[in-house]
Amino acid sequence: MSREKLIIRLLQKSDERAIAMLYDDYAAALYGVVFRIVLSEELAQDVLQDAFVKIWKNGQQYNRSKGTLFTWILNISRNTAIDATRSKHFRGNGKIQNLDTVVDKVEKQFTEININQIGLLRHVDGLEEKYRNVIDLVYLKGHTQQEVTEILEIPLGTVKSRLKIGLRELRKLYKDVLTIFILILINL
Amino acid sequence: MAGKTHIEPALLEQYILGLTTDEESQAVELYLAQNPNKAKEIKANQLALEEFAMEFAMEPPKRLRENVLRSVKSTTQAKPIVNPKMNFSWITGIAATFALGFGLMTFLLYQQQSTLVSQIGALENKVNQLETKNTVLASQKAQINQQFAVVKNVNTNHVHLRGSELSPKALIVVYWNEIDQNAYLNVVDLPEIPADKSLQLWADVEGEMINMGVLETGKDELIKVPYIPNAESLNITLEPKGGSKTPNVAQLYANGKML
Repeated sequence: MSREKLIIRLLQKSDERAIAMLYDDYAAALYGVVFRIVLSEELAQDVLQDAFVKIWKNGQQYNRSKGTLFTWILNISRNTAIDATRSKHFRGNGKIQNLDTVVDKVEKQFTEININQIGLLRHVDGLEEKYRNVIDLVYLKGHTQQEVTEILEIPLGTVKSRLKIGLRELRKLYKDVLTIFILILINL
Repeated sequence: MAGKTHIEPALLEQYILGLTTDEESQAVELYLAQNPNKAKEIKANQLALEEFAMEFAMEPPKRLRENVLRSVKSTTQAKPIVNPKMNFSWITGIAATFALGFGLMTFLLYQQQSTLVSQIGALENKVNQLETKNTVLASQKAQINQQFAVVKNVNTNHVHLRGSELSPKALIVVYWNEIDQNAYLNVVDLPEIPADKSLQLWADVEGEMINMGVLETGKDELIKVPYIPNAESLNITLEPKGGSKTPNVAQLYANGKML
């Protein structure tokens, strides 16, 4: 049984070990996504904690027809983060910033962090920036396509087409990565 | 493609990006279940996006792991039904209760069964005893009926043998039926005799004393005796134990004339 299948089985049986395994495998990825939305480490930690409780509570309902395990927990984490940014608390702290500034700030921050942490493994750099930005805003930050037209100041049709092409390119990129990975495995 | 759901390509994109509502997601998942090729494509997209997301990974502070696990645990304690350990002990509890109940019931039934078996044994004994007793009573009744039939028969003569000077109180009733040729005695009263003596009955036929046997006294019933045709009288004498061949006339205890 693969580790992912094991996690799913434990999760469906409400076995707490599932959460520990999920945390070890995905916490960093989820934390990165959540932080990019809430822009506060403190809040990101609260959000991640809430997200894991939601994952735990809904674990019995997860099955593979709902997409991959990571997509599922990513959606939960992202939605929790978006809810947090919309809460009064968040507004009250005056953390709503000009969206352009946010994008710039986060892009800068993460470029640095990721180059440090992941270095050459950053495959998505192979994706043209205009596609990457759209996917980032929609997929990782949960913005609606309408919001993206405002942030990037491009028409809705363009957002849609960039999203479509971006997804296709990303898939190709990922397939290539997979192929290389498999070739390496075979050569080992 | 009859019966298959149609899905807008735009909705599929939204789904891949995790932007669909629960209802939309369900519709897409139904569609994907019917279209394996499309499902593969969607999965490839999701994996690519995952890879994309992974690359923005950021290590959270170490203590967050403990906090997450603690809050999950506290959620579990608040909802004991989803705790597998609780579930396990819950099921075990029920199973144990059933097993215990079953065991107890088996024991009680076994005890009850043993009691019933011994009761049945006792009842069988009693039935056997009663059957035996019933057989005895039936034969006794048959005997009594027969004797009563003799007594009430119009052809039966009732003859009294009265006591002599040796035993003035003695009285024996003889039922004598010449037609059926049978005879019975009813000993009403006879004196006590020494242990080494017997009372013997004799019939006088034309001056000859014919032995009718030793009297078995002490029984509260009619005593069957041989029928002697043409008997003129019946006589009871005291004889040595077991009786004699000829009567000791000097020791005549009772006699009576036949009609």
